[in-house]
Amino acid sequence: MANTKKVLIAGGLCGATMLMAAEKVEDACRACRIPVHVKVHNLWESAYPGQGFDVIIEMFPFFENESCPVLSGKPFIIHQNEKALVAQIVGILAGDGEGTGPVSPREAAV
Amino acid sequence: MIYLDHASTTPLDPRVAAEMETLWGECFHNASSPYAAGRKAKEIKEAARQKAAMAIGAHAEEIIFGSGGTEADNLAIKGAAWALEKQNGRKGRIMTSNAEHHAVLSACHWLEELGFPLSVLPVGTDGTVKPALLEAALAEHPDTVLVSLMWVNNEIGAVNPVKTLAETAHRHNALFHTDAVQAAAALPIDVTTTGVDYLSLSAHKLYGPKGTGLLYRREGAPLEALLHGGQQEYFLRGGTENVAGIAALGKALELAKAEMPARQAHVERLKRRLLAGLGGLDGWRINGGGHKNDSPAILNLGFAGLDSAEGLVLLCDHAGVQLSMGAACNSQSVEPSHVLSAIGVPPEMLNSSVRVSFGQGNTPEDIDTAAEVMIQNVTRLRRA
Repeated sequence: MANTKKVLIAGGLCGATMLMAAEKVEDACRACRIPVHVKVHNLWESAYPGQGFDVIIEMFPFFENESCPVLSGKPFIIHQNEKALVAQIVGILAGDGEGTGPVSPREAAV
Repeated sequence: MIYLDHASTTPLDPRVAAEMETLWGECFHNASSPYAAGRKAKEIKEAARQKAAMAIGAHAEEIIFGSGGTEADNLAIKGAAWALEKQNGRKGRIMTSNAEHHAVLSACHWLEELGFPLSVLPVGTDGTVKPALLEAALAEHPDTVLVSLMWVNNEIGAVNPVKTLAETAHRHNALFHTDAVQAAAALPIDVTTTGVDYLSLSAHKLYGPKGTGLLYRREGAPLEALLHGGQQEYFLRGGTENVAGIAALGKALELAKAEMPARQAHVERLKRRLLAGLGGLDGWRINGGGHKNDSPAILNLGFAGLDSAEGLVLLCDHAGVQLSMGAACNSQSVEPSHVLSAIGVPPEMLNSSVRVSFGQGNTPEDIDTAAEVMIQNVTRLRRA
């Protein structure tokens, strides 16, 4: 069985949005048989959410110089391009070539 | 930490704290009790009422103490509406603006649900209500019995021409209430010269404690109680009085009146310094326009190129500068501030605006640091 992938969804006051986003990522990974653990983190409580993530979703620009891809979670807030973002996350976790380096948050938000 | 969120709440002035500390211990007695200690508590409460009245140009018996600004707004609006309904035998119209604090807006909308007609006037791009607009609205709606318009806007610092607005309301036989909670921090308050009928104040916005406020009610202005169950505050606010809190409010108002010219000048200097400090940054604006007449204590800034203000406020917090934002995302939508929407802030800045509010504890060096931190983080977020 493949190693469990770690996803971080980090933001602030949009707690409900982050929980809903986590559910969508978990559902998509389950459908693709990718074992995943999604952590939701409130950056107001701590600026240090831990490490070792395979992909980070930030609800507003926060992370810099991370070793894993960082994507903007804005599609989850505005409910536009959500499916494309979830597909991108799954693609990175599946290692199909989309996760080879940090991704511009703006790129995901467009 | 550099605290620049005084419009949210102010730190307790040590002189006010000292006043309270003595009372918490020594003077716990009920101000309605007939024995000596109770009478002493009552004396302290009445002395505070005298101080508060003198600070705003009122008579002592025109002051009704309560828990804060929200209660004072609710008491003024609901209490006046009900009293006038009782007096006139019909539900009179309430008039307010779309930039009011929710303590006013929600109270008005609640009355509307009970059958009171409501008119919500639009503010201009500077955040103020134009007297001519009020005049026309009152002429169109002669059933108006109460006008409630804030003195200083809590988000952008716009200052309404309260005296003229009150005169306009009176010309049309309507009473006038003003929420002066933000005004008390940086402007002199005088109910006599402005001619208002009701005025709300909160202690914690003027270096007093939370949980205490007052409503000024002009002698003879109709008012029904919201809280029943005691004879306190002329039967208009039942409940055992918070004597220490009331004494603190009296002291805070006394200090505010004595020190107002210096307080105004101080925050005005800080505001100008911050604007100068941000001068090197492009793509920002003062929401509301930054007029000479605005409150010197409040500044609302919109930054182009940011997805939301939350990232900026959070990064500034991590860098030791505490600001406030007017909007937050939720699961269904991104809700912009109703005030920024009302003044026509461009859509791209509705969710990327922050409020900076200055206080007596801030120094010019604090402001230089804050400007530097804001520039660094706006630049960082724009790069993202």
